[in-house]
Amino acid sequence: MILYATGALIGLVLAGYELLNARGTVTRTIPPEDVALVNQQPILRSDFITQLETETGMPAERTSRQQQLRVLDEMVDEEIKVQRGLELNFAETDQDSRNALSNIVDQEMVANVAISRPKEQDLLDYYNSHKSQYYSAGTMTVCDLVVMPGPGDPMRRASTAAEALRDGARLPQVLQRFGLLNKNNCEENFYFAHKIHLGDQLYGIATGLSNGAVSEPVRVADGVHVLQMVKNDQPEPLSFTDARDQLTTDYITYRETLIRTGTMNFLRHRAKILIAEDYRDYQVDRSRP
Amino acid sequence: MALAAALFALPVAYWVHVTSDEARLLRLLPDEIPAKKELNAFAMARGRSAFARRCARCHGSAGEPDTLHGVPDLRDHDWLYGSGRIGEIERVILYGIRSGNSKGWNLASMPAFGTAHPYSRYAIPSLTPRELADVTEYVYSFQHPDADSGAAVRGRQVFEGQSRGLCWDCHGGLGTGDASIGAPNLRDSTWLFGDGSRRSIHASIAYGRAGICPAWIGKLSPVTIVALAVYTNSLWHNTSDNAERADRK
Ligand code: HEC
Ligand code: HEC
Repeated sequence: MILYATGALIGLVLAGYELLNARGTVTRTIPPEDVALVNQQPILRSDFITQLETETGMPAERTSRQQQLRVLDEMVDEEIKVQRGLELNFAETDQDSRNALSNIVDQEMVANVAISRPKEQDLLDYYNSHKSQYYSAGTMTVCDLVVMPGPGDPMRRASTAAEALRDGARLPQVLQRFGLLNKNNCEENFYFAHKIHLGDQLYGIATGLSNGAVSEPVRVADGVHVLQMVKNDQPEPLSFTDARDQLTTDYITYRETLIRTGTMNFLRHRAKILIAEDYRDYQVDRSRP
Repeated sequence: MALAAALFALPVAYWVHVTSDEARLLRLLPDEIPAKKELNAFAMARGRSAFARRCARCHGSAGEPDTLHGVPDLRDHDWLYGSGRIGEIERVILYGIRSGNSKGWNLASMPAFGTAHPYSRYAIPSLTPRELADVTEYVYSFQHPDADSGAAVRGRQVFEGQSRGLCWDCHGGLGTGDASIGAPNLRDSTWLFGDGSRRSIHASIAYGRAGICPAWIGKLSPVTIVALAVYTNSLWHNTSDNAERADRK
């Protein structure tokens, strides 16, 4: 009995001590993780410390009280201004705020995707159902020869030059004899880069040439061209292991797209959207085909 | 009666005690916590169990690296972001890295120089297969004196190029990295991705990298986040080798 009474007493004294020991009334109502509450909106200590260190360029514990109070002052000001902005409804009227809000909502939808890493099996399934997307980049070394202005029909000159190359004549001699320019210095590059440099039409012809082959003359906007393929390493299908790095990124993007679409559909369902008579053909509900 | 009082008062006392420990922990500047023995012990215990539940599936049970997934070693002095101080770690845990949280670290990623559009943030030209091989050889040569010196010299021009490559802009002119944007040091033997072979260096440069560490704000309590930061900091700060290095900084 005495034991219990003592226990109770000790308990009460401990509780009382802890309560009295807590800081004064100002901090009492503020959650310990915050430095301030501005109209109930918290300013996180961690944000405060980051701001303090960014502004002063030193670790928080080396900053002066004056610096700390100044940064706190700025952050309280900022919070007050933000709240005023909400009062004035700038979220609706100011374009910068609208862009920022729309972006942040977009990011927020997919923030959870990052929490869990894709499972190996998910990656493998994704790879198996998207195999056609996983090819090595493919490289070509190809000479893009263009007929320079001069006497005679350019098509004819190009065609004799191509013939000479096929017969094994050396490139510099052919260039000189028929007045051609090696426009790309027999560039070695990825397929995608050649596509940009050569243009779609020449690129289409180049990809079909095997090592050593010479194309027929082609007329495009800037003149008559002949292509000589030095080396054509066509894109090869990538194994799961080789595609892995790319796969991870693609799979995350794919998951994000699914979640974005789902969330947007949900939000649209929830919203009351009215469309003017002259735009009746607009499809409000995107989830229906 | 006394019994009832005791049964009531003891848990209350315990609760008040614990919450005030939490409150005291939260009110300290993060880097001051280790010096407060009792609070530090409280944070360590809490941080250890939270780490096992929330972080271990990527960071391993002891903060060890995983170069297949680009998970850095949390036990060494080599920090992608900042210098491993508790406050800095707390920020990573709160807001993450490329996590989608707007306060998270997201100032740069590794462009994919072997693709048609290397970088989503700004236009940066692709490199040719030869340039890729050369710059790979240059990076490889930092750890391998036997690398092909001709290729490495050409690769250095790509690395320091003003209009192509632009490696120096993020990794620094010497390739020692930049902890204010999370660009790793390329000169040391620590690799975030792969094993430092030509093949894995080439893959980083050709296909790009953008590791993600999630944001926990709103998912874990503030005190758990501080405790996690204290515990994570202890993983590297405890070894004397690292403590020395930290002092020298
Ligand atoms: C989904 C996997 C994943 C989870 C879960 C995860 N992390 Fe990470 N973390 C990473 C990756 C990947 C990186 C490297 C990011 C980069 O490339 O910049 C990282 C980076 C970090 C860094 C920065 C290291 C440096 O060198 O600067 C810290 C600190 C960290 N994590 C702590 C944690 C803690 C603590 C937890 C648990 C609360 C956690 N992480 C949970 C994947 C994860
Ligand atoms: C826009 C900034 C930026 C540029 C430009 C850049 N990098 Fe990076 N690089 C990064 C970042 C950030 C990472 C880390 C990515 C991560 O944490 O997931 C990285 C990672 C790497 C890695 C992997 C390192 C490791 O430890 O695994 C290599 C190798 C690399 N870069 C080489 C280069 C080379 C070579 C160039 C120039 C051709 C270059 N980088 C240009 C930002 C950049």
